[in-house]
Amino acid sequence: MDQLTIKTPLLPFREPLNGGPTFLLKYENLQPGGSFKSRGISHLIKTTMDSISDPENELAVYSSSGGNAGLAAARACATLKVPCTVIVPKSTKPRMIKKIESAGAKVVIFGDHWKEADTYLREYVMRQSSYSNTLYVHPFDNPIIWDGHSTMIDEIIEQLAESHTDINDVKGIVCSVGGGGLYNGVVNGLERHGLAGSIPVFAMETDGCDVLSKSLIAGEPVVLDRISSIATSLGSTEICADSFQKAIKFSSKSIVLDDKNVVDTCLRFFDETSILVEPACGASLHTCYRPELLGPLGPDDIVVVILCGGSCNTYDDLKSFH
Amino acid sequence: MYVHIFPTSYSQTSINRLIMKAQLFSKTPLLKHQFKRSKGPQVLLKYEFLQPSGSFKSRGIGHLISTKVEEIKKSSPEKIGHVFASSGGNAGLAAAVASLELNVPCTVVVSNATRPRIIEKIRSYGADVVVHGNHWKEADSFMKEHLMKKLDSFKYEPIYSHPFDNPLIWEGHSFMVDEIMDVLASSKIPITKIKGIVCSFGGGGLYNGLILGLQRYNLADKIPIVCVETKGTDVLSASLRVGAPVEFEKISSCATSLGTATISTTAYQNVKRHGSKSAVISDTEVISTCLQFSNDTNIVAEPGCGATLYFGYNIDKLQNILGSDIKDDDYVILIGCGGSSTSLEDLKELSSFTNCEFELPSTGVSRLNSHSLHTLQ
Repeated sequence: MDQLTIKTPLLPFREPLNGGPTFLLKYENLQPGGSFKSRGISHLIKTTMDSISDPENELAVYSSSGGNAGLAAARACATLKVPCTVIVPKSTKPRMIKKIESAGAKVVIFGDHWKEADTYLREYVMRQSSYSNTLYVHPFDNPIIWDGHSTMIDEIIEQLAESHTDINDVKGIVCSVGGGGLYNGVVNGLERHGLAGSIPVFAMETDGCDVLSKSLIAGEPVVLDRISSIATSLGSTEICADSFQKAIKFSSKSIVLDDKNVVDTCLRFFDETSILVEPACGASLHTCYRPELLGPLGPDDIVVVILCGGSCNTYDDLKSFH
Repeated sequence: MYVHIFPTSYSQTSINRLIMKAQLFSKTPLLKHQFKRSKGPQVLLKYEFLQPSGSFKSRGIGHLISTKVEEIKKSSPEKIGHVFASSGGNAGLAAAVASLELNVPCTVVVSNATRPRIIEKIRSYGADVVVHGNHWKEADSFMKEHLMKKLDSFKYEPIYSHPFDNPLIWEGHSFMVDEIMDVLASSKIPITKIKGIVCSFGGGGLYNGLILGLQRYNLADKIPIVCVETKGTDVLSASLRVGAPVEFEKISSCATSLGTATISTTAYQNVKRHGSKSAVISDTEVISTCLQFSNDTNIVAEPGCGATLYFGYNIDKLQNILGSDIKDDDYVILIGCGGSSTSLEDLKELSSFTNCEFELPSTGVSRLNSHSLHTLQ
């Protein structure tokens, strides 16, 4: 069987003529589904499969994401040989539909936005299912998904040890925050290693998708009326309750960037490395070009940036925004 | 002929130490890649895209420069090394990146055919770029005859960095074989399951590195290497046909990184000695591969690298070349050598020029001008 996830490399980011801290990039863009989502979502599907004791009870997987979560579900199901249905709203890009389909999933287009597609999936499609076991895969809000994401922290700690890097030199982990799934995985992983209190997490959002930042300012989780940012993969109107509590408990730093900054970062990174990441990922990557955003850091300090990946935007999308 | 003196084997620890000493090159992952394969052997891809300079050249050129810098420190501690590289491509970029890391001055001489984008990129790593001549040979002689000779010899010691033809470069490249062996061992894949390694072939530097690495494990005669060129840069293929190394008068292919007039003599001899295979694909085939790969992975591979990736998408053709009975649980390794000579815009432009989106992969139809060749003395 092919692997559901891979151990991604942790490699130094190289910025010419820059005397700041060392940034290490965790290349989650290399996951089979093109983003970190492969970790949590394949873990959820595999865990569910393993829990079914009777081989007669076949499992079918359902997702309502026309983005990276849907693609990750489709790829994981293809590997596990489980049928997968993805319901996506009309606004979904044809390119993503093609990607999800070519991974082997059945795609049905329904509704004007995610909520409509999601409701249709749960209220209608799943109830009509002929399979005795059905699994609903939420894009992020499930502790088993976070468990899957958290394995990247185990890898990072192992990789730092392999290269004889002192964990005390790590002055932060930078990750993008949409609904909080990746953030929860990172913090859970750090907690497991007793590091959640000592290594700060920088939670990156874009202006218009800044539900965590707004919630922290309000002192309670808020719900956004609307999403407005090119970083559509960060576009969640709500933040997980768990993420909000962890952000307060561990004093994570919330940073909000404007769209222009992240698009410029994506284009620059693409020019330097030939690797295209979407704006949701560019939000984290941006700190490599502007270390001062993270506070005072010296050349001996190390910052780990989760290059979360994502396939929602093409180069032409970025260029036209630019 | 060169005489090689190598340790019997580079242990993983010593490689790690090399990486720690200076981050001249990265240990890159070797990952199973699906391509569009439905049957046939498993394909493992070595991600040399992730090297500091964007290509495998960081290994060999980083190793050459760091070795020379160390030698100068010992032999003439009052001097510092000054790197001279004649390449308007990935080798020049690798030299600039390594020189920055080692904190030594670097001059890169490029011909006036070099794209402004590459010049800017090399400059962004702090190197001095001089534009001279119509092609590599003119740039290279100008650099050797004028710039290197005029160096203040009391203060500096010149370090000449050829794009590929130097045993130290091959030794640096050869470390990727140690990494591959390490991953195969830890993933419990028996060496006997590896039925071939595919690499792109320009001047033969990468190929020589692979052979050198395989020789350390006594595998050079056991694992066949497939050397891929494009029509118009197929100096190796032409040399094998003629029976002696030939020189091309002109290069005509979009895979400019593979475009060398001559190949390394050692590479030619290695190919003969170890029975390596030669494959030539068309520009159309390579460009559609690059576009397909960039759509699949969000990584843009230049044609020089796409030549190898082509066989990931056309595994049946690879099986034909290797000729042996390859089973579905066997493996082939593709070296994703990387390189940044071609932007996505360039690729799209090239694809509209060659209409490759509408053409089926062909086996020898070339739209290119014929090239002339003559046997070397």
